[in-house]
Amino acid sequence: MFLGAGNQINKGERLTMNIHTMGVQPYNVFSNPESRRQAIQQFSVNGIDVRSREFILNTGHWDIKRVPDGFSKSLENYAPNDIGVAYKDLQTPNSVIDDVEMKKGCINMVKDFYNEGLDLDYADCGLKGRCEIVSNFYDGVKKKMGIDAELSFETKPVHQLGGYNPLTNKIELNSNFLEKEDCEDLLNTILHESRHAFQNKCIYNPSSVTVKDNIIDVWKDNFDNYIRPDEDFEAYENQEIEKDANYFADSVMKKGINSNYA
Amino acid sequence: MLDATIAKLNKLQPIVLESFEVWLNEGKLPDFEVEGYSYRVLVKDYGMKPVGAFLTLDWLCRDPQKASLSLKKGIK
Repeated sequence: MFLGAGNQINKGERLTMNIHTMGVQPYNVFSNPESRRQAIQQFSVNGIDVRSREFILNTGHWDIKRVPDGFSKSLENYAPNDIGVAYKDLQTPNSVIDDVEMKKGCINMVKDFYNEGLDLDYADCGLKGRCEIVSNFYDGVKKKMGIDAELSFETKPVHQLGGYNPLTNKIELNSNFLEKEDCEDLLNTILHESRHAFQNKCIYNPSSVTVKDNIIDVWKDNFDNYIRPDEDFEAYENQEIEKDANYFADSVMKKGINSNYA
Repeated sequence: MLDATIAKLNKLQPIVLESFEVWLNEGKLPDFEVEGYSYRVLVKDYGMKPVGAFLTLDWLCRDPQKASLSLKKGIK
């Protein structure tokens, strides 16, 4: 990546930084105002002025790793591959996710799921088999959406079907789902939560998607001022990111299950 | 968020407002249902906080069709 004034960090090269901000994780080091300020300062220490090119301060451009515990060793003793910020080549044209094509891909995945009788297999098999089927479905969704959120099943109140946490980039599904033979609601919830992960990807790596900037701005504002369902369910339902995720998941499922949809 | 919540609490439907004031002053939980949903169900099965449950009962009174449909789909 060219960083101006003759400076360049090649793909795979590493730059070491000391970021000291409470609660900051590698994935949000550039989104937290204080750690972002520190990062700009440390780029500057290394002769790299990023103030006029802040677009490079996007976690999608970099593979950011935490320094292992036992941070007291001096910089000279660091193994170059265990710390720092490394340029990650996410900006190639092929890695741009087209929102429309991505949705078509998800619809086809749902179609294939039902055409291959995986819904019947799901109903017939035990918990382990169901987990495998769900995991394979989510792997496909991840690939289509270009997201990397982790998926897990957790104990939740019976009508809390799932959730996506943008701070941890994790999707949690209600483990009650695995008890039911019908997997339609489960697939819908996976698509819904994955859409939230996609919205988050759009915010932190807008050049990796074809979603318009004004829509991403609305999503960012909504993530920043998110209303939780346990506090005001009506207001929660009326949020843009929820309406978008509901529409996405419902329409993908409807078109995927409807054999008349071309 | 806090201002919006207070504004909503000030406009609660009469049946919800009455039970909210009883809960606030005496700690007594409401025992009525709206469209088949009770305070207890909203807290236990939907994981809502007390004020969130009252606001949802209010939404069920004001817009029963939309609120019921949203609750039926579950929280995601």
